[in-house]
Amino acid sequence: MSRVRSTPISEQAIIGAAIGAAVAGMRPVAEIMLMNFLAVCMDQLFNHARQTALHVGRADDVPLTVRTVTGAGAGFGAQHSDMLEAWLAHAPGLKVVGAVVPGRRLRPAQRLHLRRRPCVFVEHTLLYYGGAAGPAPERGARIPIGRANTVREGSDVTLIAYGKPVIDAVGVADALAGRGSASR
Amino acid sequence: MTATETPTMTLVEATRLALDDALAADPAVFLLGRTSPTPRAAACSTHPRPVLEARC
Repeated sequence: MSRVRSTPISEQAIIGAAIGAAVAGMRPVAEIMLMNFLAVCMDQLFNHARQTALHVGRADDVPLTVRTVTGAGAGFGAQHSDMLEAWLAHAPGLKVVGAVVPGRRLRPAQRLHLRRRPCVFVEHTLLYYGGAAGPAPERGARIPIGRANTVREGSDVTLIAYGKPVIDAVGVADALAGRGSASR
Repeated sequence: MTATETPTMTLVEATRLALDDALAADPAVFLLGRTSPTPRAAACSTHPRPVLEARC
């Protein structure tokens, strides 16, 4: 079998085929080019991908990774820009990840594909147009999902963000530093 | 190596490398999705995997 499968433009077919493959023992990485179109796959994600393992009482039955991209700022229009990760994050059994820059110990998709539960890896559109660079990861290095990363230390203000807004938060911290406030 | 020589990359580049690792490490891993053979994607292509390049 080819390791890269080109599909029709049918998000339901992509996710449905990926779930079936995952249940059968494969480890699919499914690409949904724009997050808005995950909405047409919600039945599969919510009622099948995340619940299949729960229904049979095992936590290792659906090793599915979904990659998707979204976010404002590139002029792609309303149906290509919504950030719907909050929907997904409210579903027990579904892991949602939004990364922004690589770190020396971060190879995000590698970490995800090794999981045995369904994951959605959300990337911001603007990261494809000159996203911030970070230290090149070491081969094989991983970090735990779900643990916050402190970008800079400070004691006056705490800024919390995920994904691309981390870059914006760093910019805010720089501006505050110019006014004498140290942001964490 | 000094701090100024530390190699860097973007998240997009790191994710592609991670998928390379995943494909190499486990024969059960495979990628699926729609392709988008636009001129921009082709111009950016440094990788034989169209699913990944489609977003370039």
